[in-house]
Parts: sequence; C-alpha cells; structure tokens
Amino acid sequence: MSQVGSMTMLLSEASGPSLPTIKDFLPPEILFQGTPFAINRIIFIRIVATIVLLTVMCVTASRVKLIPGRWQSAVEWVLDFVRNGIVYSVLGSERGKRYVPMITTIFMTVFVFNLCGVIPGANMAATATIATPLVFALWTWCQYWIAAAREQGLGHYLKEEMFPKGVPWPMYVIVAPIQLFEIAIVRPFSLTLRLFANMLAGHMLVGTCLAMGQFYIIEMSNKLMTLVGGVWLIAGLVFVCFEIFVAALQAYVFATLSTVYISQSYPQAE
Amino acid sequence: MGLITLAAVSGNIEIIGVGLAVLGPALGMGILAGKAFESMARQPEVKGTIQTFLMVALAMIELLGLLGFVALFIV
Amino acid sequence: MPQATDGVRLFLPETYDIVWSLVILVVIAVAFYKFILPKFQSVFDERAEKIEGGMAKAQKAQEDADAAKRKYEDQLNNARVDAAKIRDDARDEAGSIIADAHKRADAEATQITTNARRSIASQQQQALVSLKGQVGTLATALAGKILGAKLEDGDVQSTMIDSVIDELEQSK
Repeated sequence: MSQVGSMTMLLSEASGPSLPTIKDFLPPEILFQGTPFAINRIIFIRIVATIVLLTVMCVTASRVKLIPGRWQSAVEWVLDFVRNGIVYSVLGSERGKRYVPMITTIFMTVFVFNLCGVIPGANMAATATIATPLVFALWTWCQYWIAAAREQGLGHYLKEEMFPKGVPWPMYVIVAPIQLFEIAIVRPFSLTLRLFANMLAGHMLVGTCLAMGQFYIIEMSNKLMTLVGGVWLIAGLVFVCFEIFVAALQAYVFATLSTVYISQSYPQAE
Repeated sequence: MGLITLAAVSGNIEIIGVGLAVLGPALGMGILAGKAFESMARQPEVKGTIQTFLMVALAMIELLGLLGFVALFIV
Repeated sequence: MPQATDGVRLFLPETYDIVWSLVILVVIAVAFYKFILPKFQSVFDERAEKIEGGMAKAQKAQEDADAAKRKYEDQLNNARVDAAKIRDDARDEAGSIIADAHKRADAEATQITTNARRSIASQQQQALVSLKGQVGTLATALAGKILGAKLEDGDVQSTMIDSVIDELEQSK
C-alpha cells in the first residue's frame, strides 16, 4: 500500500484521482508542535467528539425524567442494551453491576468516535490512530487482571488459564506459553488492532470510492466516463452506510470482548 | 513510465497477498458462525453461552486476518 | 524508503496521541462514572420502585378486598347458622307448646270427665235417696189404702219400708 501511496502521489500530479493514503492517518501537528500536548487533525476531531458526547449526555442526564421523552427513551434504550444485552448476559447481574459503567463508557465512546468517520467535515474516525484503541484495550487489560487477582488470586488464575483441564500433560509444553501469550499480549493487541484496522480500512474504502467518483464525474472530460463515476459514487454511498453499521458493530464487539475477557477472569463455575 | 508500471504491479501483488491472508480467516469464520447458528437453533436455551464463546473465537480468528492487513503496511 | 517507515508509524503511537487519548478517556470515564450513569440509574431505580410500589399497593388492595370478602362470607354463614338454629329452636318450642297444650287439654278433659262422672254419681245417689223417701211414702200410702188401717203402727210401717227398699237395692 505504501507503494500505492507513492504511486498515487505521482498520479495526482498527472491529475489522477486524489486517492486516500495512509498519510491521512498521520496528519501534521497543528497546535503545540513538539510538546507532549501537540494536537493534530485527528486529535482535534477526538476532542470535539468528546465535547459533543459529554454535552449531549450531560444535558440528557440532568434533564432526565421519570417519564421519558423521545430522546431520553432512545438514550435509555442504548444504556439498557449495554447493561442487559452485553454486561448482564455475559457476566450476570451480580458480577456485572461493577462493570456496567466501564462497558457503557467504552461502548458509547467507541461508537461516537467511530461515527466521526462518516460525519461530513470530520471524515475521519476519532479512533483511527492506534493510541485510542490501545488505551481502551489497556483499560480492559488492567480490569481483567485486577478481577483475576481479586476473585481467584493471580497464581490460581494463571494456573487455570495456562494449564486447562482435559489436555494431556505433554501438550502443556506447547499450550502453556501460548495461553500466557494470549492473556498477556494477544488480547489487548487484538482489541486494538481490530478497531484501528477497521477504521483504517473503512476510511480507505469510502475515500477511494468517493475520490474515484469525483475524478470520473467532474475531472474527466469524457462524458461516457460519468457513468463509471456514478457507479463509484453509488458504491461510496453504500459504503458510507456500511461504515455506520461497522461503527456500531465494532463498538459492540469491543464492549462484548472486554466483558468476556473480564468474565473469564472469574473462577469457572464447573 | 516504466518505473510506475513496475510499482503498480508490485502494489497489486501486495493486495493479492492481503486477499490470500483474508481467505483463511474468512473460511474459519464462516464455519464457526454456521456451527454456532446450528447449535443455537438446536439448543436455544444455551444461546448466551454460545454467543460468548462465538465472540471469543471470532476475535481470535479475526486477529489472523488483521495480521495480514497490518503486514501490508509494515513490511 | 520513507513510505515504509510511514506504514510502521501507523502502529507506533505518538506520545502526544497517547496523552490525549488518556486525557479524553479519563474525562469521559469520570463524567460517566460520577454523573451521567448515577443520574440515569437513580431514575431507573425510581421507576422500578414506582412500578413495584404500585404493584404492592394493588396487591394490598386485593388482599384487603379478599379479607373483607372472607369476613362478609363468614358473617353470612354465621347468620345463616344462627337463623337455622333459631328456626329449629322455634320449632322445638312450638312443639313443646303444642305438647303442653295437648297435655293440659287432656288433663282438663279428664278432670271434666271425672267431675261430670262424680256429679252424675252424686246426683244419682241424691235421686236414689229422694226416690227412696218418696217411694217409701208413696208405697206406704198405697199399701195403707189397700190394707186399710192395718198398718197404722209406725214401727211395722218403717220396718216394712226398709225391707222393701233393701230388696229393691239388691235387685238393682
């Protein structure tokens, strides 16, 4: 893809379509350059999204009534979905109560940040740098290790995870390191990568379709090519809808997997 | 122009590599989801447990596909 | 290969990126933990309480109604039993009254019969006595007339009369 990027750079000089490149994900710093508080375009989008999310939620929360209006019902439906559909269905209401705020925070934040990818003007998911998914994944990582230490002790947890029952003992030589690698590194790594790569791919997909559409419809003088451009444009619109779906799906997957990882830190029922 | 053509070809081969890398996880996910739905239809009362394990397994499988995607950018 | 390093840079987070991610995460988490979710939770709890309270109230009303109904039914049953008892008592009493009346009437009837019998007997006696006197006198007079002066002696006269009457009594 890097070569593709360089190729498109060359092509764009030859008035080709301005295809999205990975440079979109590495925007220049625009404020406080060189300090640990530097702000670039994606971080700016993230801050704006945060402010919008918090304002909307705080206003809704402060006006919350016993008999909900339309908007409050919608928000309550989402909160109820996270609590009952994700946390309680995996952890049960007894254990899950402690994790409802955490999972709700993760779900809402990831969802709103993902949605920024299709909002005109932003056109870039706020989760589309590796740091944000990484921070969320590390939060989950901390939570499930803490839960393991609290509920069954670290030694017991490691023993349960690394030496699962029902495996013939010579297999432990292979299984134990893999399991340790899995719970220590692979889980947060996969959470991070999944979200980030989805946002990356989504931006590339939508950006490519729309850029091609614009190129064929407006910049090409050949009128026959307008048809091709129309196909690209329709594909772009379809992928925008798909991205909205993916935004919700990834938030759901992130929240569910966090809950599942935490639930696996609890001692097995059997 | 010759250089550009060469670059284009090499770029396309990388994309094909990603396609191949995605193929395995795609098959795995398909089998997994099919089996999960089948077992859910057979025993709807353990739907919640099946969904949980489905999610964990999907996460592990998806990681393989993502590794191919990441390799596209890094290598 | 600057592009290759670009690709790697995608997966190597910048310091400022991590800083801002952390800041934003902490801000959002604090807002959700401390303000938004407790607020919603309080409303959820209040609503659940309202619904449960309403249901409890309805259940209490139902129980009250059941208790009242049971009470009324008990009272009704008691009244019914009482009425039956009273009726039985009345019937018994009526029976005893009738029996008493019967007894009294019987007694009276017996008394009346006895009295009547007694008075008849006494009258008969009286009649007999007066008859005895009259019959004696009559017979004496008759016999005197028949016999003439033969029976002028009083002693013979009375002795004769008495013997006639005794014969009369024995023949009766």
